[in-house]
Amino acid sequence: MDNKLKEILLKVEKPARYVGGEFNMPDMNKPCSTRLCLCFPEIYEIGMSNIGVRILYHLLNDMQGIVCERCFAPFVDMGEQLKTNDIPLFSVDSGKPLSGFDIVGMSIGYELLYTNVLYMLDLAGIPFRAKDRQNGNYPILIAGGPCVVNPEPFAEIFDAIMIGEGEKNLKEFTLLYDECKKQGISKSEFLEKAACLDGVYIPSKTYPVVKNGKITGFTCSVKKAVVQDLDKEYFPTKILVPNIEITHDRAVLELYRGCNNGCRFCQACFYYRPIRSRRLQTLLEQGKQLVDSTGYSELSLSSLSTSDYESLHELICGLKADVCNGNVRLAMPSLRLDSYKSEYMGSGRLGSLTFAPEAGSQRLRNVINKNITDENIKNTIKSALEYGYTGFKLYFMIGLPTETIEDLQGIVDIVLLIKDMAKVYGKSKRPVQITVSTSVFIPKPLTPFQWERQIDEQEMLAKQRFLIDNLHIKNVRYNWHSADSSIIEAVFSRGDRRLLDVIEQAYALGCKFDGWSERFDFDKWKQAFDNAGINMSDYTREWEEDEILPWDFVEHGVTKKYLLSEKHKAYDGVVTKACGKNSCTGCGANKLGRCYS
Amino acid sequence: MKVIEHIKKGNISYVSHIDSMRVLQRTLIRANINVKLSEGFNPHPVTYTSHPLPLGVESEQEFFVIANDDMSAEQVLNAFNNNIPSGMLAVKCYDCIKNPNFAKNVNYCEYLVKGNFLQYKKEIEILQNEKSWVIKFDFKGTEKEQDIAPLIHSLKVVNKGLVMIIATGNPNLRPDRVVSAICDKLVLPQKAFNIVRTKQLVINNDKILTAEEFLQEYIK
Repeated sequence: MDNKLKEILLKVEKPARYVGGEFNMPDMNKPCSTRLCLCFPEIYEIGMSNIGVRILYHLLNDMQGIVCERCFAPFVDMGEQLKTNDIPLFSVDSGKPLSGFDIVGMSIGYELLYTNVLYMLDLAGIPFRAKDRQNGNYPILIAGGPCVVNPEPFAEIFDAIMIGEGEKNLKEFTLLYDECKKQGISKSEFLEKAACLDGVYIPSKTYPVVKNGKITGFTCSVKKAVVQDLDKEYFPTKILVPNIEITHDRAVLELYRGCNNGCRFCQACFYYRPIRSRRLQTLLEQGKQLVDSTGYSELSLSSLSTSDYESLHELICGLKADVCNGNVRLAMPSLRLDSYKSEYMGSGRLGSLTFAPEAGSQRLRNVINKNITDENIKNTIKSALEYGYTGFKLYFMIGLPTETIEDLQGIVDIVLLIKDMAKVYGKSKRPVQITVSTSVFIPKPLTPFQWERQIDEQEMLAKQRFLIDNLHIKNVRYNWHSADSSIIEAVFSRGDRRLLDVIEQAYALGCKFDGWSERFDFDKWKQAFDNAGINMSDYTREWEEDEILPWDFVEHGVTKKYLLSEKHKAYDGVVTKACGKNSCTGCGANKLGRCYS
Repeated sequence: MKVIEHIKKGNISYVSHIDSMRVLQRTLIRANINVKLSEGFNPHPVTYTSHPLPLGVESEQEFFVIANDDMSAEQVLNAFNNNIPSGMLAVKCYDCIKNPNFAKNVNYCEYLVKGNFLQYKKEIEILQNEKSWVIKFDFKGTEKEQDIAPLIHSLKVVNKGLVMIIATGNPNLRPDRVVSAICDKLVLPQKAFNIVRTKQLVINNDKILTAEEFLQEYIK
């Protein structure tokens, strides 16, 4: 490390973010022919918590001849220091500048990270657009992560975009690169070959055909990459243990991918299908190895809806008996309201119970296909109160299609119901604390609601005002998600290639770390849209059912026809039951891989 | 009681004291080293460390004391070294009768500031005789003053750099502040020097004990 960098590290907050040296770090000095750097456009603490990056980092490092390093977005103070001292952005593992790698990959988790992608490239001294990097010795820039469901707003930044599961497409892409590099094959020739791999999208080869400002078709299509046998697929059990506290500082087991519930607003549910799980025995072994190799005292059972894992009870009992030994706590995110069982809860101090009914009334829950009934809610509250819980956290969405004032009143009614029931069933003398949080509905690609409009800012504020006024109740807290950033998220989630201009403008105006509410500046974003001559409302409007959508070139398995039929069912208030081994709903995901195999 | 003497070198010197403590705790879990729990409402493993090291300063001698009597010193040393990040490897492990309480007893530390100071040898070494030497520094946004003269035991320029023995604990003197004060005095450019804590010392009147010597009366 040179002296200039040492000086900088002493001036910034938490320098340990930038220097690596974690336990279980793979051998970075092994003989290798291809070096990758996986980047996450957020700070270290958030990036290190990402299970996708964790899996791919270890997977690549376990491959012969391949070394994979990490890089996270330096926080603003460090970014400024790097700029003023003219130090190019470097990897955490070996301190090597990003521009010195063969492949640089960005994992893009959500829409408000787009400016941070530019921020990292800027600090690394890499031109933003792929076409500007043709001449010059730059690394191959690739992207992956949940945002690739609709990669169009950032497509022109990258040489290649990995659509689907990285264990398959990133691995094959890297192997092909390694082979081509050894044979001296040029970058463009390599990309030509890579386009034949499943789930590898080359934005310069596959692009929309636009006539009169409307997309009329695409030059070719891309098939999402899917891991066929998740149980046999690689999963790291000797993972990095950070030296500083990270956001999710715990070991994580991934139970299964996909979700059978089919909530109509949920992108993850449809994107991660087909539904494939890991066997009980595999998970027990992986759990043991993870806890032994890390020393973590918390093990999280992760999936989109953990309570739907078929052997959950056996898994919890098995882990408690063999792995936990009283020292390791099991953490279960994403419990569904109707699946709450007191035995799933830890034995320690009772915190508050978190559930997401998403909508206040039965009618609206039918529209969004959130299959829980008023009866389920009552039973859950009753058993939780009897168990001794004194806190409830409730999550709802506002601005859902067909929402009326009665549905918002339904949210208030649930809160009042809990307060009433607490008087009858409550065990504790302490009053029940209720926290209600609402986010704004964002129409996401690859969901039955992908054609819906997003309510405008005035409507958002009016709905929030209604709840602020009506939830002004003792021991009830109401939090709401900012309207401004929801609009930006909605625009980019269904955006097309024209939006890259806006991202560039916004970055030039100083937007970065937009996911941090205190750093988000809506005025700058408005300015950026004006500068680029683009209307936000073009993207938040209702879309026609026969329109060709910017992401239609990706074969996701789940068909547009199915999504459309689900949309129509939503308007009729008809629910679709959760799918199962013997009750396929015909979404089409099983064309890419077998569900419940 | 086991006293583990370990280093803290390289990039891990940018990990703060409180974070290093978490690293050490997790190492004990991974290494399966049992540590007695405290007897209180919130039982926690009984461990002690020596004086916190300022961020960015490396060390050749740190101490980590754990309440463990069911393993031999050698077993603890091996298990610890198999489970600690490489920048914090243990050098020795002592089996002791009770906690030597480094935080209370160690009152001075020796630091090596790496660099070529030979041409300023005379000017620097004379500074240790100053009767009063008030420096100003920024502490969490406010300017503070400290008279560092009584806290400096000795300053010596050698081939490798500057060796200084300064007060540690209560009162405490940060090594980087001394270096910066010297640069101010001699009108040298301010820069980040590579500083290494080389020894922990127990100084009473004129009697100087190294940590190893001090430990002798505690070793089983």
